[in-house]
Amino acid sequence: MYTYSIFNDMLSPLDIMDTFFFGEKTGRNESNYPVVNMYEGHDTIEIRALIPGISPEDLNIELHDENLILKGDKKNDRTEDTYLRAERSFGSFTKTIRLPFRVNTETIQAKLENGVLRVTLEKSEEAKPRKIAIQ
Amino acid sequence: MTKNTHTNSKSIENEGCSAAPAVDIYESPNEYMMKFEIPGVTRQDLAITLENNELEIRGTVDGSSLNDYRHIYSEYALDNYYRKFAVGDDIDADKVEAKLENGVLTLTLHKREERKPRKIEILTH
Repeated sequence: MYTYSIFNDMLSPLDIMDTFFFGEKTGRNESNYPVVNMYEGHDTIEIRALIPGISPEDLNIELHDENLILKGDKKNDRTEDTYLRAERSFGSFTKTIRLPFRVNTETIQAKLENGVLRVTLEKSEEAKPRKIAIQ
Repeated sequence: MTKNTHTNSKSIENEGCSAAPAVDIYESPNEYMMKFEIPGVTRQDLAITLENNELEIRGTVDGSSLNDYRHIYSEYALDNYYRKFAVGDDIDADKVEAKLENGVLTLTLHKREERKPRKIEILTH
């Protein structure tokens, strides 16, 4: 049985601080789902997204110019049983990530492991660092 | 069961930083089911203990494979996971099942036989 407590809806000092510093939405900002990190190697960029509970067939990755778009559906796995806690959220999402470089469209690799998506993109030839010879 | 004794994002008992993973908890007549979101944790790096009516989940995240990379944009920090629950004595500690799939840990805690609800037969003469 789920017991509702009025304290759940009360403003905590932390919420007030968060609202003041970061605006209305903090923490579980659904429009920002999923959260991503970007890493730059010498010739590659790796993007990691946290998407626990999503299977590869429910995920779509598209590249439009310099924008990598993650589209997916996190299927609701709630059961009929009464719940004591429900902190996870579900639903479909679209996230656009602007890449800092043009990338080679032929060599994109994506791997989904333990709820972490890793997309590895290779910089396009123009974007790769090059050594300039001094004459 | 499942009185949450630890929801702070920083753990004092755990070394270093740790985050409390989001959880869904269900109760049915025969069992409790818990679903944790712990992306980045492998089976080997996960420790689940049930002792003295305390259920502890610990997940370690290995970030070492990115040493040659420069972090250029960040929306999350992948800390280790830690969460502790006080559970009732209605749980059969020998029958806890754990499944890790796509970064979601599903724990099934069966209730002890003698604590399950039972139907009372009405005797008629």
